Amino acid sequence: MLKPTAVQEQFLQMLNQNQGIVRKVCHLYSRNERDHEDLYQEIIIQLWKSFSSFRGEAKFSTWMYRIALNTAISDIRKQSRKVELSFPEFLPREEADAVDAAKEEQIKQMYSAIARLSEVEKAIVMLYLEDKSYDEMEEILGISNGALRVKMNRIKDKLRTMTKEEAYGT
Amino acid sequence: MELDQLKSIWKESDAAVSNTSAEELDKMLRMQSQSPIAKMKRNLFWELVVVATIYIGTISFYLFENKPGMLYLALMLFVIGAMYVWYYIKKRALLKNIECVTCEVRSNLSTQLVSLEKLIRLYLWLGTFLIPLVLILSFVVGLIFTDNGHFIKELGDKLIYVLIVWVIFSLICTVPMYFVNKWYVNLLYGRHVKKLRQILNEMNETPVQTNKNNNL
Repeated sequence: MLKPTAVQEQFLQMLNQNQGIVRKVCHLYSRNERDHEDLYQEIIIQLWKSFSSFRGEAKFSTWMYRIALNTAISDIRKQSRKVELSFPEFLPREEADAVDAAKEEQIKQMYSAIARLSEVEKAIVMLYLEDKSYDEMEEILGISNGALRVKMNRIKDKLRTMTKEEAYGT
Repeated sequence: MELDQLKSIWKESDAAVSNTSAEELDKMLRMQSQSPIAKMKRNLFWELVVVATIYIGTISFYLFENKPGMLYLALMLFVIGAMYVWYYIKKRALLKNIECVTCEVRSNLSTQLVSLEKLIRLYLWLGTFLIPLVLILSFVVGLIFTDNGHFIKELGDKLIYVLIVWVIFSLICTVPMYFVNKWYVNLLYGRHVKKLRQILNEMNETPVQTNKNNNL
């Protein structure tokens, strides 16, 4: 292996500081481990290709969210070939280990419901869970603040209905 | 479970995420992008290599034959080749600007859709008009220039009728070619464009608030 260049080292450092962003996008937009790894690799390649153009005008995390979500959402061909599953084939291990069985079941239901949302809704949910403000969400997604609020309310209702359906097996 | 309750668990997972090592990163960066756009760019490059090899080889062969008919065939191929070069430059420019991964998601998708639609139109119309062009050029080369123009002299006044029949024949061939091209382009990009449009429509819609609890 060649010695990493200074730029590569800087990139690696920034990537590792924000690793969670990429991993979470991959969790939400993949159906299995293989998809997850493929998408992770694709996002890293896109981040690296764009790294030289990062001017620091936006926050690094905002820049990273944009690239990760653009890569995941644009990979439509791959998504359309996939079999539509009602339940994600994996649950993030680190999360599953940390909670008891009953809670894990609830989390699984929630993940399952999130997995059934549209690509756009998934992105909104993710940013919401990341505690991003609506201004930041607008900066990443390009959807107006007002529209995001309404969409978020709709998504919450939708998830509530879906998790209830899952819990009662309807 | 409510979405808000998932927030804390979601945040905790950050700490558990393992770092990427320099070796892993190096390995990933050596791999090629598998995105549809990266694949389209690579395909275009290989298409150029194949077309250039075939055309240069064939044109050189016809030129070295050094017969009048062959020279015109070489010229015909050169005209079609020049059109391909124009198509290549146009398609490359479109593919170069087809995505902006660092832009807002909505504007990136919008750029992708516009560029893809332009690409489809280019493919469709060029593919369709290539048929009459090739037929007319073949007519010119085949009937007028081969055999030192002997055949054209034999036709005399009938040339105009032959020409009309040929043009009609070219048009008849062009119409089904348009539909064949349309079907093929749709097969290649139809689902992608449809899905892009669907995502963009969802992003562009301004929903009417019906929920009373708007205190997010």
